This record gives sequence, structure tokens and C-alpha cells, in this order.
Amino acid sequence: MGVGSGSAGLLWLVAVAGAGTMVVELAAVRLLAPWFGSSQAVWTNVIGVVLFALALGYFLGSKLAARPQPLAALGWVLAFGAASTAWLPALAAPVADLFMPAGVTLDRAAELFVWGSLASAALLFAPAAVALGCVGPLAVEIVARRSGGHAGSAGGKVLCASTLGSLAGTFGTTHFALPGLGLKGTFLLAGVCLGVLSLISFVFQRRATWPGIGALVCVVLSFAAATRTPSPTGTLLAEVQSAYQTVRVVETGAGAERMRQLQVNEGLDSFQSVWQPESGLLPVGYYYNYFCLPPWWSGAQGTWRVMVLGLGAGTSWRVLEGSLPAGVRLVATGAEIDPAVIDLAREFLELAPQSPERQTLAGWDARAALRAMQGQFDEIILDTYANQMEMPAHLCSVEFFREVRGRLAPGGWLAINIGGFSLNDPVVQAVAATAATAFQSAALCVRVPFSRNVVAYLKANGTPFVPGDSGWSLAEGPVAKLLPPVEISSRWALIHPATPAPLSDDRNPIERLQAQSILLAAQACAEREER
Amino acid sequence: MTAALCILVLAWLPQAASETPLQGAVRLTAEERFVEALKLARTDDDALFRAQGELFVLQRAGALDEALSAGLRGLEVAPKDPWLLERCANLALSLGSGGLAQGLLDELVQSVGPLEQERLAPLLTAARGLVQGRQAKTAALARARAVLLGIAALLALAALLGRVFAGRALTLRRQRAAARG
Repeated sequence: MGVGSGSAGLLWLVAVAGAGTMVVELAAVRLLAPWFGSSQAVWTNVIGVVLFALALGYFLGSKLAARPQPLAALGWVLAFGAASTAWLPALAAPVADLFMPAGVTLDRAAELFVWGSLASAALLFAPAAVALGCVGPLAVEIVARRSGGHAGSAGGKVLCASTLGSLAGTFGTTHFALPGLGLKGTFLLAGVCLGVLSLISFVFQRRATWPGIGALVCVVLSFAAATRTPSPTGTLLAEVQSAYQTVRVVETGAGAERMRQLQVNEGLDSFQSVWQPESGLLPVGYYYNYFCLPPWWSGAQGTWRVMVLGLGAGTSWRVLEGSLPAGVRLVATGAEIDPAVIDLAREFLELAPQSPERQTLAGWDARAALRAMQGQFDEIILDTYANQMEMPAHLCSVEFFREVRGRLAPGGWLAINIGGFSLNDPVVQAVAATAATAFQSAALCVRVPFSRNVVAYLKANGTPFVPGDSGWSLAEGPVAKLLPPVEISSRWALIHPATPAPLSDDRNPIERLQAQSILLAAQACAEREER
Repeated sequence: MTAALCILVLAWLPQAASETPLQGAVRLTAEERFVEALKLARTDDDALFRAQGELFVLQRAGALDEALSAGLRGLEVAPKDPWLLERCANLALSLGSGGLAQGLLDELVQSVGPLEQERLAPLLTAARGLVQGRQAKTAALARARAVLLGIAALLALAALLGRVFAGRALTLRRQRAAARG
């Protein structure tokens, strides 16, 4: 592949523009996440908008390429791309606020996640993507004119450079730019690179360089522009951008009432972990309390071995530590996919340091962690959520639950936190029936009082106790008070195995079920309003 | 000791015997015997007391949506009952149904004195806040759809204009070529 007549420099330029496109695409979701989360729907919207804008850019580029000065047009589109990319962090808040007003609860935000993120993505990212889309056709035209060769040959070279640039942008954004520079820094870096290229292209043409200089000034000005995310309720103690999400620690209350919440992305009225000064049961309404029942039902003695999949900031550990039967020692392992969550938890939420009795697997996916761990557990707690409300598909399949069952000691328990608005909720029904299929016995589901959570219990050998069974009631202990409110017949249900299992590795409609669940809750709320 | 126990039982017996289902439900709820309390509350012949009992037990057990349903059933029988109105308004607020809460509180405020109205003011403010939030959400949704529709319309217009101008330019070129030829 001969690259001559100054085309090498142009191909470098194309490669940087390709990298810039991927920065916009990958970091775009992170920019919107504090308002809309980073669910599959949001990713789909952002990718859809960027692809559509790129297609527009290719078309517009083809028109510009037919003009006498394609190199001048290239300088202009790079200048526009630089400015529109660098200003994205500053523009995100005012634009997203238009489509996600403050104070909307999770069950009401479902439609806004879809439509709001689509409109925000269109307003924010389309201009930059259109500009960057113009680069390819213009570059092909310039290379073809200079080399005097075939369009296919020029196109191949440009596509190769653009794709390699995109590749570098993909890995660089996720692994280096975002964790190292943060969101604002990443967009600014992309803006600076594109602005410098614009300037170079004008200098190279010996034309007036003011558009390129203007773009760079615009980029520099964006350094000073304020960026913000939605305000939390309470005092913000820390906020970091991790490789997965925006994570923050918020404190509310004072004295013994003091509580800290670890929130991710859109936050809304949800939390990922919670901390109070004393270990043991949390106030009513927190589902973590219901993870403490199995050791009492089992009459635990000696050691209680627990694995928490989706450790977060270690709330389950702290709640269990303070509420096990007397003389029982907790040996706990926890897997958390986001190492930044563990770092924040150690600093602000008293997560126990690494020790033989408290083993943290930071950066591990729950399923991989379960496979990697040795030994068996008396209780496995499944509390794995992505984007506030999404149970990852590979962590609620029948194959996964079979693996869980295989890691339980005889008589061991699986306790699952399922976000659901009732026992008939489609997510609750599907996840519980899938787990029941893997365990070959019914799952006991209880609605946690004063919350929108359901906890499902499954036993490695046999069916869990239900209200009325002799083993159900607890005569003593701090957790005994958890039982009476859920004994009401409408607050618990046994969900039986289903054939075939509703959720499998091969076919797992969990995302559709989650959307249905939220829409059903919104409908119920609307019906109440219409009374 | 035995005598003291006998006195206690004797003192309790007539009280238990004269207890209405509603009173019994309240007592059992205080003892956290929710299942029995609910069962007893549902035996009340009086529809209003039955609803009040059910609401009380279910609310204490944390079954807020069911408690609200029970309360609303009671309000069908006694639409002006202040206890039910206030409890249902509180439940509606907890469940994020600001419109319902506001309607119930408006009804309640009409039937109480100024002191009570003052006490209910924060609840009304909270309900109005929820209603405003709902309106803001509806407006945001409409805005998002309008923006997307606007962008689609702009693109369609640009495509249409592009075709028109491209057609005119072609005609012009042909005319020039014909004039030259």
C-alpha cells in the first residue's frame, strides 16, 4: 500500500478523527449516566444516535468532497468537531435536566430513561458525530486526488486508518482516558487533538488559520466551563468515575440516625449499599435484614460461611456481623465487580480489610468469582445489580443457579434480592421460578415491608420453611421481629419450578421483564391517581 | 403469686370479652401478631371499622399498597371519615401518589378546624410537590418527543430542499449545455 504525496499525514489525521468518534460514543453513556443510567436502552439510544449522525456525516462529507477545496472543508469540520466535543461535559447538565427533572422516582422514570436519553443524545452527540463523519469521505477524496489512483484504493487506506484509530480510541477511552483523566478530561483531550489537527490542516494549506485557532480557543474556554451532576439528597462525601459507573457516597441524618448511602449513576431514590454507625440490623425497610434469617432457621453453630455476590460496600456483611446467633463466627467472602466501590467502601463505609475471615474479590464478576472460590458455603447471597435495577442476564440464568447450588453446603441457603413491586411482578416470578428449577424445589419469596424489594430463599436440600411451619418461627434473637410482618398471606409466596426455566444462558429476556415490571408499577400508580 | 395471676386473668377476661374486632386488631398489632390481627379485623360487621382495622394492621406490617387499598374501600362507605382520609393520604404520599393524596387532603381540610388545617399543611405541601413532580415528568417526556420530532422534521425538510435544489441545478446545467450546443 503506497502512501505518498503527503497522504501519510492525512491518514494520521483520519485515525485521530476515528479515535475521537469512539471517545464520543463510549464516553457519551457515562456523561448521561447520572441522569438516565447506563442501561441497555440508554446504550442503544446513544449508539443509534451516533451511527445515524455518522451516516449523515458521510453523506454531507460526500457533498463537500465534490467541491473544489476538500482540504479546506476538512479543516472546518475538524474545527467544528473539536469545539462540539470539548463542550459536551459542560452542556450535558443543562440538556439532560430538560428531559429528567429532579425528584422523579425510579418507577416513574422508565419512559424518561428511553425518550429522555434519546433526545439528550441527539442534541448533545449528533453535532460532533456528524462533523467526524464528514472526515472519511473528505479524506478519501483528497487521497484519491493526490495519488491520482482509484477511489477504491483511496477508500481502503482511509477506512484502514479510521478503523485503527477507532480501535485505539475504544481501548484508550475505557482503560486509560476515563479512569485517568475523568469524563471532562477525556472529552477535552479529544477536543484538543481535533483542534490541533484542524489548525495543522489550515497551516498545511497555507490558508487563514483562524477557524483552527477559533476551535482551539473554544476548546480552551470549555476548560473553564462548569460541569455538574444531579444534586444528591444529603451531604456528598465523595464522588469518583470508575471504569463502570459514576459512584458517590452520600450522608444523611446525624448521631445514631446517621446513615451513608453508596449511589451509582442515575441514583434517583435508590442506593447500592448503606451504612449505619453500628453493625447489625438496619432500620425497617432495608432488604439486607432478611439475609440474616437463614443462620437462625438453620440453627447455626460454630462458623457461618457466607459468600456475597454483588458485595457493593459490604452492607450484607455488616448486617450479618451484628445479628448472627450467639457464638457463631462469620467467615465471609464477597465479590464486587467495581474496585472503585471497594476503595470507597473501605474509606467511608467501614468495609473490613482483607483477612482470612473477610475476603474481598474486587474487580471480579460474580459468576467468575463463584467458580474461582474453593469450598462450600452455608449461605450465598445474590445481590447483583447493574444500573440500579438490572439483574445481569448471566447472573439469573438456570445454569448460573445450578452452579450456585453446587457451591452450597448440605442444607445451605441461597438468598436473592429481587427488585420487584409485588409477588406477581414479572421479574420476581421469572427469577424465582428459574432458581427453583435449578434447585428442584420451590422458592420462598417474601415482600420486604416498607420497600419495593422481594427476597427469595432457596435451600440446597428441601424446601424453605413457610409461615405456619414449625421451623419458621424464631423464639429469640434480633431477627425474630422480621418474621411477623411477612407472615400475612399476601406478603409471601412459594414459587415452584417451571419447565422450561424462564431464564437461561441461551434465552434470557430479563431486560424486557424489567421494563415490563417498571411499566406495570407506573400503571398501578397512575390508576391510583385517577381515583 | 398464684393469687396475683388470678387477679390479672380476671381483670383481663371482661376486657377481652367486650373487645370489638377493631380493638382486638389494634391490640394484636401492638403485639406484632399481624396475621391474627388482620383476620380479626376482617370479621367486623361494620364496613367502616373493617376497613379501618385492615388499614391499621397492614400499614403497621409495612404492606403499604394493600393498606391503601383497604382504606380506599373504607372511603367508599364513609367518604368523609377523617381518620381514613388522613391515613390514606399518608399512604398515598409514601407510595408517591401525590394527586390522590392531594384529593384526600383537600376533602379532609374542608371538614376540620384551623388548627387541624395547620397541622395538615406540610402534608398538603408534600402532595403538591409530588403532583408538580409528576407534571414535570410529563412535560419532560413531551419535550423529549417534541425535540426528536423536530429533528426528524428538520432532516426531512433538508432532504426535500436538497432534492429540489439538486433538480433545479440539473435543469440549469442542461439548459446551459443546450444553449452551448
